[in-house]
Amino acid sequence: MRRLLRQGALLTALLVWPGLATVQAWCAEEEPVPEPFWTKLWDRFAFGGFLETAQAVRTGGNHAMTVSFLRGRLEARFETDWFHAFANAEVELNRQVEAMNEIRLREAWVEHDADLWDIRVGRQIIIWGRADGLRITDNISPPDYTDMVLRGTEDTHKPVTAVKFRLLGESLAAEFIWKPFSEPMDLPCEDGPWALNLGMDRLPKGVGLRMEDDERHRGGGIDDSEFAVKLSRSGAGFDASASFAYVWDSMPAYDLALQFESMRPVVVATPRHSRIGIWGLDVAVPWDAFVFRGEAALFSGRQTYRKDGSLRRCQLLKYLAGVDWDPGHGWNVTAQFADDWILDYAGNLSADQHKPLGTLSVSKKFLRDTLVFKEQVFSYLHDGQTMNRISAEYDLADGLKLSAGWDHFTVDNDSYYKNFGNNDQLWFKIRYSF
Amino acid sequence: MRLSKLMTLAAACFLLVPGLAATAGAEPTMFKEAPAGAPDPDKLAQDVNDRLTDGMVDSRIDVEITLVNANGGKRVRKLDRYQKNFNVTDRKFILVFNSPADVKKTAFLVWDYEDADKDDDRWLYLPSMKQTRRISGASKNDYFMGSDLTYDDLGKRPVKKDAHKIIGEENFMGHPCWLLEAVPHKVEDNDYVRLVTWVDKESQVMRKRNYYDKDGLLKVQTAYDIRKLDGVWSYIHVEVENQVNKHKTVLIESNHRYNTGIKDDLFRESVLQRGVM
Repeated sequence: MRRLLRQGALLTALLVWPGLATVQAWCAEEEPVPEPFWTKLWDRFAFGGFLETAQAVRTGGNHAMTVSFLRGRLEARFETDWFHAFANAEVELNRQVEAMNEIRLREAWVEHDADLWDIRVGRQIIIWGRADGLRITDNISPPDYTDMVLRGTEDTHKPVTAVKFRLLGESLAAEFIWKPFSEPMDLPCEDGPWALNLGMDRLPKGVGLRMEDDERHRGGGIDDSEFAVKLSRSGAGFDASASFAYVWDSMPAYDLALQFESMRPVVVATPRHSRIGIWGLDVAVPWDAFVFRGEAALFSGRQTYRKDGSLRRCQLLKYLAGVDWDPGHGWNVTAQFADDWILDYAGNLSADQHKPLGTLSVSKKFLRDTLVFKEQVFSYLHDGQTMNRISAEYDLADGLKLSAGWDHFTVDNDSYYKNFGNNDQLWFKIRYSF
Repeated sequence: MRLSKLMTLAAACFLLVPGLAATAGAEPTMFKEAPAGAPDPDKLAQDVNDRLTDGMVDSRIDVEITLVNANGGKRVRKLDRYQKNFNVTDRKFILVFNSPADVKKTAFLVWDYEDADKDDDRWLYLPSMKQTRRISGASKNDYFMGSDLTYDDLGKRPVKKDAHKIIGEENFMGHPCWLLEAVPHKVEDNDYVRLVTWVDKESQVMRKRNYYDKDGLLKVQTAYDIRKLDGVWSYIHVEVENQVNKHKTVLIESNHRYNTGIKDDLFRESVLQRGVM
């Protein structure tokens, strides 16, 4: 809480100082009847946010709750022609995921805009890529899967402290990012209904498993910093970009060690993050009622398990090809094929060489776009694990949205997603935006 | 109140609202052939298009869109529209939504080409995704944000897309107008089969347009208030009513700022990505 207050005080100073300078300049220029100084300053502020609740219940088994949260977000924005500041904070009550019960400052950044460049400094969410719901080149803000099932795209990205500087040409842009701190991805809460299966049931009887906390949050020195650069072309006919990121892999690999605690054998899993380089390419090409999208990212040096539990660095290529189709009459169809391909595969690795994934989304709008029905399927093509979501979204009034749906999971009992198999669920979500 | 007073009041209403009087009393005169002195229909269609941008290099306008359903229920959208004309015929514009709250800061960038054979380039910035997405530029017949206007209606209708004919004349809201018919050379899926436009004889601005689909009259667009502001014809109050489901869209434009020197740089995907304008 103290940290939050300190961040809030700093943000207030950052918001007000440039605003004062700007407004003083206006007041000096505008004769003969300048608007009151504080009125002009206040007019540059805008506030907003939302209140949201989501509830879900299992359709099988014990009909237990699988998702239950209430959260509120408050956003503050200050804008002039050349200076912007933004911050948002959330408070949440979550009955399923204890770790989400908190007040958290998500973003807090200031930005200076010029015609040919801009710079944004502070805690921010950076999303790259052109895919729909899949992360290929999108590796700047780490994934946040703490409570991911009924969250939006932005919610599943962790804000990062970064400096983002861009040079903006007529159709070309160059983006440079410096992250002085690295942060790990957040996995689903171990105690919650969406916990990943980490293979505890494969341990010999009587052997325990202890996961060490993932506390990767180094920072300050150049050695620990992360860097990324992206060159983009955007304009008539197509968009494309090439990128390189030199980062700490946000996805940990685990060092496993057998220890005895109170005379009981325990496997201690310690998360390790390694330096990797990620080379990326993406493209979007519209043609008639279609938009074709492609992405590829080469993870140079990602740690992968051998069958004996040891780790090896591999060359992993993630790629995606997809198409959006807008045939009119409110229909939209999006289909994507993606794959994780270990280029230097060897037979002693525990992972498959390919991990192909298909997604399909079909939606139709009704009642002047106020009602949307959507069918979404995510399926791993090599093992048939599938998530199927049928949902509807209805605008009850301006700013008041009701969503409801049914999720069905088909999973392997040996996979990470074993627990999802019990979580077929009916859910609803209401959001009031203000 | 005595009958004479009521009649006086009614007469006063007609005097104070000349448009009503003119509309109520007017009947269109339909031509078998366009009379001598009538303008060339293709040129008139081009003039209508030109009036939308004559005298304007760039503009910034506040727009309020009220959607009214058949039961009278209303939904209101407020947005800023930035526009700049390029190469005489092409234009670029950005729509930034200010309300309702759930779509606030959503921005839509369009590079609109007069060439009917060339699809628009379009990008959509969604604050909830913090990302700009390239979207299809071909689906011009989908309705824009639940309104009665299609994406095609938002832009200029390319003159060469239609065969034009002057089919009559009428005094509309006190303004002598030509009735200009446009029939597409090729009717595409979901397109109109005929449009009739009331073109002001003096200024060549569009005062009314009837849209017909294969089933008959689909919707009526009426400009209730057009003014010349800073040398630019400006549509202040326009209503579009769907004749089939009785849904109505009311557009009110205000705070017109023309030729303020908006830079070309604004109309770039990379600027949209900022999420701030």
